[in-house]
Amino acid sequence: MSDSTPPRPLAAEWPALLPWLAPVAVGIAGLTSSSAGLRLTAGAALLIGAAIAAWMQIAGRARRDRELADLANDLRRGTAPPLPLLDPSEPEPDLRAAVRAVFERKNQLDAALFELTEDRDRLFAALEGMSEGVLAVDRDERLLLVNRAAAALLRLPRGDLKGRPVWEVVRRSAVTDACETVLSGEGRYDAEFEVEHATLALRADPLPGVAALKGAAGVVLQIRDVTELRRLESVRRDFVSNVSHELKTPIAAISALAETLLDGPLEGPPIARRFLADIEGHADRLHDLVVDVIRLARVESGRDVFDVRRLPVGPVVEDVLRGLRAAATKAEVRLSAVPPPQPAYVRADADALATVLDNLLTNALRHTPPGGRVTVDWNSDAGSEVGEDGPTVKLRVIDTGEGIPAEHLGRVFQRFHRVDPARSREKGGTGLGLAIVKQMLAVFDGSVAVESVVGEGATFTVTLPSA
Amino acid sequence: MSLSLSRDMEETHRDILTMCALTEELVGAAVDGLGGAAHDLASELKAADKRVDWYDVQVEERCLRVLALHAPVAEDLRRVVSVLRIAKELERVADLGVHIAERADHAAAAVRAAREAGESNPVGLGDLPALKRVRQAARVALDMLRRSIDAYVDLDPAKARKVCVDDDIVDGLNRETLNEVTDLMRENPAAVEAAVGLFSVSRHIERIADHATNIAKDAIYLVEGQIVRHSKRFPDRRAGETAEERFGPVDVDVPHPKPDLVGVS
Repeated sequence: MSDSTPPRPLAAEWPALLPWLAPVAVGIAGLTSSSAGLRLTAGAALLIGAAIAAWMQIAGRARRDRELADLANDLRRGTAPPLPLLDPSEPEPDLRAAVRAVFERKNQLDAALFELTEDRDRLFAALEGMSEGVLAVDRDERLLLVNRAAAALLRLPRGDLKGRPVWEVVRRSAVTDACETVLSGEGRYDAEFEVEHATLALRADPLPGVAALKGAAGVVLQIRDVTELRRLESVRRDFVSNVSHELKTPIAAISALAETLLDGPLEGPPIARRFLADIEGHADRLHDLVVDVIRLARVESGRDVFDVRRLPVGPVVEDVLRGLRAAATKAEVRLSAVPPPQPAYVRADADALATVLDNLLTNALRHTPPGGRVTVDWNSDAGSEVGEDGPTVKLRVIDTGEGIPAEHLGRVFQRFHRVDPARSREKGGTGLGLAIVKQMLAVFDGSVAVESVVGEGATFTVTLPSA
Repeated sequence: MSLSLSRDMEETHRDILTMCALTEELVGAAVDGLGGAAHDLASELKAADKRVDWYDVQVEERCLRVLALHAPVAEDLRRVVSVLRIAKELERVADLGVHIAERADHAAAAVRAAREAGESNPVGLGDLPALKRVRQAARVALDMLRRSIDAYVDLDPAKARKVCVDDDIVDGLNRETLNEVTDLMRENPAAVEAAVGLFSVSRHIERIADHATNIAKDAIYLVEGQIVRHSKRFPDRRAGETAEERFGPVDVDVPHPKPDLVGVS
């Protein structure tokens, strides 16, 4: 073999050398023989043999070079030629081993890459599906990632935003300031800002990375829509302050009356009686208010606390009317029910329906002057034309009272909203009755509406699913 | 483009967009403050206005440096020139935003003073039905401002032309507000102060829309190299389009707290 081949282990060399040994031995024997003819023949044979060997060597090299070039190409392009790549008679087994090792490694890498891609896709899917907006920004304030929620919350343009500067795409000073602050290495940044009447809360954190030593390697921004949260906070604040105000008024009255009584000398039993009666009245108001607040809390805890079943409307109405008869007589208002020809059934809780009716009727009695009329009627639209939500029962409470001014119509179902605060309180209203009606009906997939002409009365219409 | 030139231009671009974001938020806050309870809105917004002014100076200095050091030509020159102009426009818009906030504060203070003086029902900005239209005009104007800067960022002359067309909408709303406010003043002399305040707010908003239009025209200049200011030819102008056709009706279903003021217009 020529000297140009790289050194290889001996074990691999021996079998390749064997075919050469016999002719060389014969040739040497011929050259050293005494016959001149034999020496000449041996010399010529040796020369021819050497020439053939040299030619085979050159041809083999060229073929090997071609194969290696092909192999390099395959590796570069990532296409795998079928193994064994080299001829099975390949005289260099370690080269075959090397090629096999390379392709095994390649397959491993392919598998790892596939897994990583899948992982990445899953992560992106999770990010896309999040309701929080997520933005990632690199050290040069260019966008690395924008999920769908972020694009929607910040009203970003569609299209590929990756790689564009955040200050060009987002253009909200809170976001730009957050990126700047965090990139300068000041740690977490929180802010709240408004985008088209939505309140967004922003939290920016440094991207952990190698470059964390000097400033951040980037920024991750999380954006949440807190509009609803802020609204509920203010509703809760209002409710608490309303309730405490409503509680305070009767308590102040009770304590003032009691103090006067204690301070005596009392001017005789009739006056003491009147004071005590007042105290009782205020205590009743407190009781009503607490009961209403509890009721409201119960309604808000959802459907579970109710026993929703098929319910005939007639008996419930009669029950409620019976309970209110005394109050109606006292207010000199005629209270009557007009049942439909066919009994109507609804899906609701019996107690809740009674509460709804009771609240509506009490409200009607309270606002109807003596000599007026309060009428309840109801009928089912089953059998006639049916609305999109299936058959319903409409129940109306009609009064001939003072009516509700137009600007209050939309708000009478709000908690503590009163058309005339002083008069309503005087008559014992808690300001929660209609709010409870609305909430309860919502639990049973029903609704309530009101129409009114000032001076002529008001009509509350309750709609409940028919059963 | 040399490296330092491109760096300078990118920084200016950034400053302009930050300015735009600040300005937009400032004007939005000022308009939201109209008719609300008085708190010192104007002085709050003046801090933001200071930032806008700082960016304005920054942009101008950088542009001058670019002009002096690099003597840019063609598109680079156009970019420097339009950036200079846009910065000026934005600075003016921010000032107008502060003026609007001052109006809001002023009106709220007047209402408070009148109430303290014993007047039972003084008329504030929030009591004027025309406020709704002014708010709508502000929405349109802010939208125009945003889109004009979009056109500058995306180098999109078509977008810029649409902004120019919308200027008519704000002009129309301003005219309607003027009519309504004049009628109101005739009928109810007690409302004169609030009405004058509201009208000046409406005029500020109309000016903001004009500035947005100018920015849009600068964007057109930047891309096409032609100055379209003062030329009245917009091929896609849709004549006679009203605000309601484009942006939907003014919300009229909200019952007004003072019905005696509603029927005036």
